[in-house]
Amino acid sequence: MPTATKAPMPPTSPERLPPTGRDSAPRVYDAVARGERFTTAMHEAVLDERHVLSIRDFELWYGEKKALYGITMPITAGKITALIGPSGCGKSTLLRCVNRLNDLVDGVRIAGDMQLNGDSIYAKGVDVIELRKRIGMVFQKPNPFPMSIFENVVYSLRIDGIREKDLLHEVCEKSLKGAGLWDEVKDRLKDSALNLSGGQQQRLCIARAIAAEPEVLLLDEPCSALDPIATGRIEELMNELKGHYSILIVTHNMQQAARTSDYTAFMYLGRLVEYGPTNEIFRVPRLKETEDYVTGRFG
Amino acid sequence: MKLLALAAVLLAAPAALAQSIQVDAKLPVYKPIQGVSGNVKSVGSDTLNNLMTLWAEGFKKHYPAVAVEVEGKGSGTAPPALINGSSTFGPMSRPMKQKEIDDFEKAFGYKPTAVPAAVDTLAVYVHKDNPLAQLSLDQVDAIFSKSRKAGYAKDLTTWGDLGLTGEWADKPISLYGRNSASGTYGFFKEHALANGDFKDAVKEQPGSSAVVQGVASDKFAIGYSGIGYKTADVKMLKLAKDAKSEAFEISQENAYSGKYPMTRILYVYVNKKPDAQLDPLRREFLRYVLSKQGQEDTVKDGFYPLTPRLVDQGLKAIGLEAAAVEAGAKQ
Amino acid sequence: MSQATLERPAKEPTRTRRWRTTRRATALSAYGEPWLWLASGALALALAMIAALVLLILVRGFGTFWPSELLRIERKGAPALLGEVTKEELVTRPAADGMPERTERRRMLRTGNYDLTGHHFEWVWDSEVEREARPEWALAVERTAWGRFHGEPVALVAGERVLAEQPSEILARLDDELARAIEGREARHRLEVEEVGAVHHAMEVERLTLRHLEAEGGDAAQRAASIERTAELERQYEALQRRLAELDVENGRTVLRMRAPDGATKDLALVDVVRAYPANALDWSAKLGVYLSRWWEFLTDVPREANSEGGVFPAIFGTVVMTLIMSLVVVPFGVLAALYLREYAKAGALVSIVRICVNNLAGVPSIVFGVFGLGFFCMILGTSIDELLFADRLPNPTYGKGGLLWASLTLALLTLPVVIVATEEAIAAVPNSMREGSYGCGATKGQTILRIVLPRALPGIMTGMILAIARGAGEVAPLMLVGAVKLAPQLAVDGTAPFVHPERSFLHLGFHVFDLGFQSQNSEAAKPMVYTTTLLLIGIVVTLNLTAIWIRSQLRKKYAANPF
Repeated sequence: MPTATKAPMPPTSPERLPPTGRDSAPRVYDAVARGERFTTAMHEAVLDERHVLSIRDFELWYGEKKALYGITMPITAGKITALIGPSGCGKSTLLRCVNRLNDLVDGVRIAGDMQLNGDSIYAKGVDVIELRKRIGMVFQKPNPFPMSIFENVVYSLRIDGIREKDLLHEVCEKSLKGAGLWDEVKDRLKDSALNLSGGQQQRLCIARAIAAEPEVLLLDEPCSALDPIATGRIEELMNELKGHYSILIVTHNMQQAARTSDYTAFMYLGRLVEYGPTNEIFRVPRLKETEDYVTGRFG
Repeated sequence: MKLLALAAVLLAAPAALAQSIQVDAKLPVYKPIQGVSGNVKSVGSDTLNNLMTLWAEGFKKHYPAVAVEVEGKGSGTAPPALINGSSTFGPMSRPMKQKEIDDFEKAFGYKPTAVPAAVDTLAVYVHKDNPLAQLSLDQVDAIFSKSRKAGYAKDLTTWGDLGLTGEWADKPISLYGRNSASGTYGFFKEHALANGDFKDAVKEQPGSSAVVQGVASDKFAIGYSGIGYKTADVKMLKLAKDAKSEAFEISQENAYSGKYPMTRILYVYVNKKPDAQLDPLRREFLRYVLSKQGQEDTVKDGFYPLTPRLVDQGLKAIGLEAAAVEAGAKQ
Repeated sequence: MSQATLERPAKEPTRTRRWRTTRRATALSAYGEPWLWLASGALALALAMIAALVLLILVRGFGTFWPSELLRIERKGAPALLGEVTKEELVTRPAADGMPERTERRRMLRTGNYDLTGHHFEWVWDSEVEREARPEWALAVERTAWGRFHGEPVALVAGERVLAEQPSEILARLDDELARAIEGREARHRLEVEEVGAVHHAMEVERLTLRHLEAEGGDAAQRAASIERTAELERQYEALQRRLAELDVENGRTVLRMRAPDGATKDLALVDVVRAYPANALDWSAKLGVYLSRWWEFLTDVPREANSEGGVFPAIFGTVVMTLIMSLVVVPFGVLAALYLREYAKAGALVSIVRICVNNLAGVPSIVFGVFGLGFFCMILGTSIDELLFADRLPNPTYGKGGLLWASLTLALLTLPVVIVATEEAIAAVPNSMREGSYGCGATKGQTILRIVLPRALPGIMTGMILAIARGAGEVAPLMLVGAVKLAPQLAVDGTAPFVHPERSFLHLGFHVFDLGFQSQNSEAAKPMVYTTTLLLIGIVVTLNLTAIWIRSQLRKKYAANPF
């Protein structure tokens, strides 16, 4: 992977570059390598929707190393938005910035802001704990907690100190049904969650995430550790959840992105290169780079 | 050859020599009084460790409400514990040094009270198969000390130097002794070594019994320890005051008469204001120690009991009427 | 490229093959076998040493209480002996007294009868032996004082009346009489402990009240009442003393008359007899009975005769309670410290230094901890507590001396590094994805630690606790400075208010081993007890550890990760 930014860049305003035409040569990579400004090829369709989350001029540094460059990206409510791009392009980093998990990493600095339904995420005085309760997250590797299935699902309620049995059971059932797991585990809710299969564990994690009725659901390569059948189940599930939940998913799997998402964003070396409706990105991308990537000619 | 023959006789007939030790009939019999309870703690000599425990057990039979703790890590630990108040009694296998008395006096304004508690003889032990029968004190000094203050002409390092023949002639003498916190160490240094220095080769042991066990397991060993710790695996040597004197074996009689040169009195120190009575608990415990029953415990532990005169001296020290000699006079 | 390399050997002509074979002969170090042998040899050596040690302790430890037969040896020109053969050896004796140099056997006899002969053990050369026999009725008697008595029964006497004179008759009646004597002894003990003890205690209270009243100049009526009460207690005491004296006479009436091997007769009051058995007439099951009864006494009784006889119950109690208190203290502290180091502290030079210090603390000699415990807990903390809470008892210290609590704390300090290191490792092994999952659900750091990290790390923490117990229970050196003593008649938990007395000194099995081994007056008899006590100590440590391991395996089951 070429390292474009050997020399640390000062946190200035995002660099802008005139958009390149679809037929032009892949200039974006060269421009990035040279550290020049460029502008995201933003399809107008994404701007017309109602946005649950809007990312504005967002930049991030790990210590001296800049990882995200001037990302401006509105996320549409009730739809699935996929983040694609080669390894290390910053898509997971961006995802983890939405619920501020990157705060836990030493030496992280950011600039710019994000807004969740109009509330700033990075403004001073934001209660991170409250914020995270409004955002659900599912990780690359299933990470059920070392406790029973039931306790896993109602974890977010437990930490709020909710003890009413009826409410807990109601939420548990609803979330497990929502995650399509209820029929498989309804008779063994008291069993350890660690005894479930990998696919079941991942759906349990989804159930856990939706138990708190989040405004956005973040999925960080949720199928990368699963076999094709379990992957299929998760994709079905995503389709069922869409509409009720707004989903932002990071994936390496082009087919998955094409199959499941409504919008796709292509990222490269910390930049958002092109962002638009999925069928446009995969069929008529505006940039040569995007076309190369989605057709597998790049990488 | 003569030595060997003598040794053979000694080995052959230990039982004939063995006498059960008798407690003087004139010693007062202990009778319990009322209202004694509380806690007693003894910190001090490890020679007296078992004996203090026996006394504690005997005392507790009369006074169930009394709790006695016994801790014994060497006579040197007794004075500090008495001074800082963490112990009630300080058993010591040697009299307190002037420095220790001064420290005590600095803290309380009066001297500690020494109560004689038992008679001990320090025995010089060799392995049971060792043909040697006797030594004089200057020889003992030449064996154990590098400074030879008692004036023996040459350093004694092998058993051949002591006149043994055969396999013994060229074998080095292996030395066993106590650690320096021990009163036994101090007493031996003072009386056998004339305050000279021990050789570096002395293997210092953590307990009186350990010295005897060391000698028992090492055929060419010699060591010193209290008479109470003798076992069937070791032999006690006769000792003479000097090269010209007769050597005496350890016996009750020789210990009392002082013919055996290394006889000592074991003490229990107590903090007593000169003009005040002891509280009932401490007074009764010491009275028990000085009684017939207490002195029988002494015999049980292998020491010699006090003579009536020493018992009276002890009773007077703690402000009680002398009982033993007068009682005897009445009889 | 790589394909070409793989294919080349097939294309190479055969003539170079030999050269290549020699050239590329595998180096000796590349073979696994020498390493395998070295590694397995090291393991075998270590196992052999451990097995030998354990076997020695097991054989000696379990063998101590097995009753052996009594041998009567009549010697030329010396009194006869009766005892158990405990050792025998072949010795080359130099030529002497017209006898040539020869190899001769000598045997060590445990003779008992210390009150008569002044010996516990004696060596006998084969050449001294005139006649040997195993008398049918030889009786081994274990007494509460003076150790064992070996002899032959002559009569069983109650007061003036002779109950039995034939050995068989004596033995037949002995068990009943002994049981009655034990009852009498226990009755006296109860009277002593319960009633006399209560009166003594009441009198002490009264004495202090009176002194208090006098010091304050309280009114005369109160003083008179107190004096009156004291007088009443004194009357009670007199009555109790009379009852005790009567009991003593009654208990001392039944006497077993024995003939010692040298012919002297001796009356043994049955009340002072712990156990008596005809050593040469026992069959296998009767021997087992004696053996088990000795174990029972060892495990449940208090020590007698300066710890050389009786049981070690207070030492077992002290060891277990001390270890438990230590665990209760060290685990929370260690876990909190490790949590801070792993979860809260920012990684950096300071944390590294702290971690190195903690690790090195594990290498500090334990006696240093003992000195610290003595100086800090006993002298500074204890003295302050005394001044604040127990000023009326001064100058006698209450907490300002060694005791169970201070010893437990000292050992907790000693084992703290073990727990910290083990817990840190366990916490580090909790996958970060779990923490992130918890944060992602909106949990705070505290909630994450409490609900996710600690439960997951619990088996590892238990491992730390197991190691701490193993280290703490076997430690002796520091205890000698902070509270383990030779005689501590009162347990730390008993019936007198406030029922728990953590300030009391205590007996400890490890210290007991040291005491038996190095301090015992009758060291020959103490040696087997050293093994037995060691066996017991190992048994207790193993039991404590097995319990912890069992708990850990239950936890592991609960939190086991499924590798799907």
